[in-house]
Amino acid sequence: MNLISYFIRKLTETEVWKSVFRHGYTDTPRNRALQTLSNVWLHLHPVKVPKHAVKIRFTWCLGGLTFFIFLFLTVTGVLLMFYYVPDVNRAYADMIDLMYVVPLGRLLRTSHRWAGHAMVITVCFHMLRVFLTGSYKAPRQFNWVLGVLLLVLTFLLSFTGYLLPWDQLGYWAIMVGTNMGAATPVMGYQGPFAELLGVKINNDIRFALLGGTQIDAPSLLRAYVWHCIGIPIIAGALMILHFWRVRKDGGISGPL
Amino acid sequence: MANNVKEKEAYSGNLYTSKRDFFTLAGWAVFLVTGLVYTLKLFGPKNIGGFFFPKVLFEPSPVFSVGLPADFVPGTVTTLKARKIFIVREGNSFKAISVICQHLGCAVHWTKEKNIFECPCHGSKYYKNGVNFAGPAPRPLYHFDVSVADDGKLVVNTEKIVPINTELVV
Ligand code: HEM
Ligand code: FES
Repeated sequence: MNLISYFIRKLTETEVWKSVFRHGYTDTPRNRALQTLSNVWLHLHPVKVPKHAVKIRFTWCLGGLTFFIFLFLTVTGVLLMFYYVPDVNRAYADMIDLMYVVPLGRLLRTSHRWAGHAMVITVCFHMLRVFLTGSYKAPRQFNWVLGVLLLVLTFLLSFTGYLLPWDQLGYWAIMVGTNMGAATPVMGYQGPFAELLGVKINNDIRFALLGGTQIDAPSLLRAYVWHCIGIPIIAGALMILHFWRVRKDGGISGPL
Repeated sequence: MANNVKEKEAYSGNLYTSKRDFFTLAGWAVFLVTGLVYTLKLFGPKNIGGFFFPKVLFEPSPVFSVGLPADFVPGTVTTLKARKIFIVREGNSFKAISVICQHLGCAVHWTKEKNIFECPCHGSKYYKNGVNFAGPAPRPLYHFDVSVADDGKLVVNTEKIVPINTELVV
């Protein structure tokens, strides 16, 4: 017995232990605050929250769920990148290989796809919750604006990812989607006011998305780079701002 | 206090009160101008050389030969899948009609039994002359310019869209 407590004491007195667990378990208000403040993962949280803020049925944790799914997608997505090459001659075959020859590949690909759908759903419900609880009102207007940007970025992630398998479904979805871009006023060559600014098939927004006048190798590469690097970085940066604003606007809004 | 002295100088209305202020301004100016130029070059439109608009495209030429008039049987619609066009021959008249649906860009196909073009995506239908009559398509299929080259072969130019009653009689 004495030996065990001796070793425990030795262990808890090492530099390493004390670097990880800086504040022990002493249950005083001050120590509890310190436990949160001095931990890199926990310091994003307030040390104290009002009672209403922990009520599940106010937020339904929808924003949190969206963020969790985003992290899940990042991990599974990076793993997919070990096997997937964004080349028109390889992309589809790589997806088939993932399904049949890569250990865990089918689970990986399927869960990345389902999680992608899930994120679009949870982000919409999160927005609905924020709207129904009136949480967009002052002082949270700016966070609503950040939220709208995150919504658009979530859609763009879903859209760019759709092309990557280079299958019929994705190909025609991108055909329809980018042609909607072509019909956008001013920016698209088929949209209103296009002639006015000399917007043509080879200089409009659709062209910038596809890297050409038709869906081809450059389009697949562009979708890949935006999907795996560009948009996640922008969305990640905006999420940091989003969470920071939740804190600075006084934490989660209260019941009306 | 040094700070107070500096503030008074800064508010005296003269831009170049001190060397320090000048360099602060110059530094910001260089930073902002460089940032602006690069942002424009990166996300700007084609005419200022925007990064997302390459100068050369590795795409099939919009002008191509489709073969001799005799290769097409009178009264038929021939689908040239790789070229994304139909060649419609009626007696001695030829038309090149785009396969691209005018709704949102799917490829329509020729349904011989019904004598119409049909789109698989959202059900748009077009008559043999390319005029839409059902589904969400807002306008007729594009008709492209057809001409005869020196070697007697038909040449289609998909950059030239012509009115739907245009036909080439050979
Ligand atoms: C990538 C997408 C998004 C993520 C990861 C995200 C994440 C979060 C999280 C974790 C919270 C804390 C409260 C909660 O869980 O409900 C929150 C709050 C909030 N979100 Fe989002 N969000 C996203 C998109 C949006 C959208 C589309 C809107 C609306 C346009 C929005 C507006 C807000 C507002 C106004 C708050 C503060 C709510 C309050 O104080 O009650 N967010 N968000
Ligand atoms: S794209 Fe042809 S009907 Fe929609």
